Amino acid sequence: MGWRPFDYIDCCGVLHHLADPAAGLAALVAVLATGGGLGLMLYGELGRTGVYPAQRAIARLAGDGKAGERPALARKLTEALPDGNWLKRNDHVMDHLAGDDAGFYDLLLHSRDRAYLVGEIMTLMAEAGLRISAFMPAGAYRPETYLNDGDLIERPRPCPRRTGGPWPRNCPAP
Amino acid sequence: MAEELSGALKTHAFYAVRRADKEHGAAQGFEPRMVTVLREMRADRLAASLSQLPGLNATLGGVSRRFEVSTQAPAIIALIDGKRSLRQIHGRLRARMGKTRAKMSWPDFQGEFSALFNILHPLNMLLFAGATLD
Repeated sequence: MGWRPFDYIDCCGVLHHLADPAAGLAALVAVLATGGGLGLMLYGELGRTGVYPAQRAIARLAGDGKAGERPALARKLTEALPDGNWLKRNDHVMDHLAGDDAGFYDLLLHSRDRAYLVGEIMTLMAEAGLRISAFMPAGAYRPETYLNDGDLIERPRPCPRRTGGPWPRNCPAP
Repeated sequence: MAEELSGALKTHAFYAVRRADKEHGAAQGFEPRMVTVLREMRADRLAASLSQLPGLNATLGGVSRRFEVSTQAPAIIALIDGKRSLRQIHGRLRARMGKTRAKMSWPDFQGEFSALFNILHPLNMLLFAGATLD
């Protein structure tokens, strides 16, 4: 479009909705200025436990029904979920309970989204010729944040360096 | 491993640069010309709060934690405005302490700032905005 390369590109919550996130990321890198940086946000797989089974259940219950019927049907379903359901048990995902349609639709009715483990993000970035400079907030990506026992805090080790293959799916941030 | 321990990271926010770019990325170490900034927070309010109670509660990855700060922390925070360099903050602190005959060398300040940074940065509250031109 004739724009000059961008020094900073913020891409929050977009790539995980694309059919080909890697292609989307490549398009961003193509317009990133030399010495520029990207700020990105992608869905996290573990924190969204329960979301995708609920999405699949809604999709199957809705069948070929009208798109306009799906929100009401999905709300009815989420209200009727049994206590053992993983979405109901996930206290960290509350978007569908906030009352607004946009958050509800985005969480449970979006036609396309996927979530990532950190290792998968490392692979996605590496294959785009990028390196991650920091996860935010940094403290949430340190094992010691979640460990109180001194012996356990000493035990985590970084993953072996990547030698061409993908990062392990559960590899911690370096 | 942290995300597996947490189980609560429903999004991953991060910064990236080109792999070949060795010059840019997260700041390393503390240099006098670095400019620090509080994120989405008023320095005077945080400093006043920490003067009364030298600790803060925060939730990281779904875990609630309490962090204690040093007695110097409020004075340092009060001088963070997103424009002053560490050298300037140190200078102002020294000037104030000079009145009480206490001295704070650069290594002393570095130690104090480092302790504060190591609490506030992991919480995404304290960042580096850049550096002044020497």
